[in-house]
Amino acid sequence: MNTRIINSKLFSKLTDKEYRRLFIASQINKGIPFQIRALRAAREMKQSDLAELAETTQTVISRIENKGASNLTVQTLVKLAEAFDVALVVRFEPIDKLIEWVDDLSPEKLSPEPSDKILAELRDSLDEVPDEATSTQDIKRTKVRQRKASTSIEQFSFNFMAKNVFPIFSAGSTQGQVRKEQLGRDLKVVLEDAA
Amino acid sequence: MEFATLGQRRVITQWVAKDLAMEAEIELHDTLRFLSVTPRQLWTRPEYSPFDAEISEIRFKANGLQHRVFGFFLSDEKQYVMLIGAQKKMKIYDPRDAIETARKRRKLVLTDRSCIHEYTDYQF
Repeated sequence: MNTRIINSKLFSKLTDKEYRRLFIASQINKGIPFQIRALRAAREMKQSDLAELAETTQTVISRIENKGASNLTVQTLVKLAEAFDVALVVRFEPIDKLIEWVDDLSPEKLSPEPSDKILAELRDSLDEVPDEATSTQDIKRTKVRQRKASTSIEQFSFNFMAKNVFPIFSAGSTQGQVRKEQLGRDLKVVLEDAA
Repeated sequence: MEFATLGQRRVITQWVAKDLAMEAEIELHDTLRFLSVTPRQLWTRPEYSPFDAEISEIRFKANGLQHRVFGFFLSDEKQYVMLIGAQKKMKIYDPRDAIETARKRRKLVLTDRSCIHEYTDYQF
């Protein structure tokens, strides 16, 4: 946690137990209605649409949005999360995790993207041969990418060893040289004494 | 943003410190924090409502009492200026002249931007 947070007026107030209790409760009571409104707007849903998806009534949705979420059951929250296709995280956490969440609050955090979209994007970002690759050219292109990545990792490992590890082992023998040898698929790093 | 008097008295900072109980302070700050990350078109009731053509109100309830912060958006619609805080009991504001004061302060802000300051007490 950074010093800006620790030095803030709000942080010092949280050392008061009563303030902390009210602060924690308010993140649920106020935060959930704000999130529901933002998520509904992002998904272009009316209260009645959400109610239908979450198997509840429009009156319940309206009450949550207007009166707060202090009396909501976890079961209702689960249904709402399912309706929006977002994850729901309900667990006990240390206070610093809540502080970080509050400090990092943004429109994107208030209204997360649907899980389907996020998972598809993550899958697409993987740098490997796609299962559905149809041409040998696809596979060739991917293998070249993988080889380049692997070479750069080897080069990084070598540079790291040469710069950080060998100087420690060879203290007092600063004339030594570091050399790399390719042994089949393995990379051998050798420290040679100049003498 | 908040209005500051000629004597550099920051009106919302002082209202929070002198007149608001702990629960009300937390309610106000959470309302501001969530509004600050909410797109402008979603500033709606119960937390926000236009009062008339000139001013609007940020609304919250604490300790069984309705509270209002009167203010307005600067022309870029990105910055909200809080002009005065008040409690509302049976349709009567405390202070009683809250709306009148808000209108006067709005006029001052429109002619002189040096009387507004950033309000960050709701942030870490």
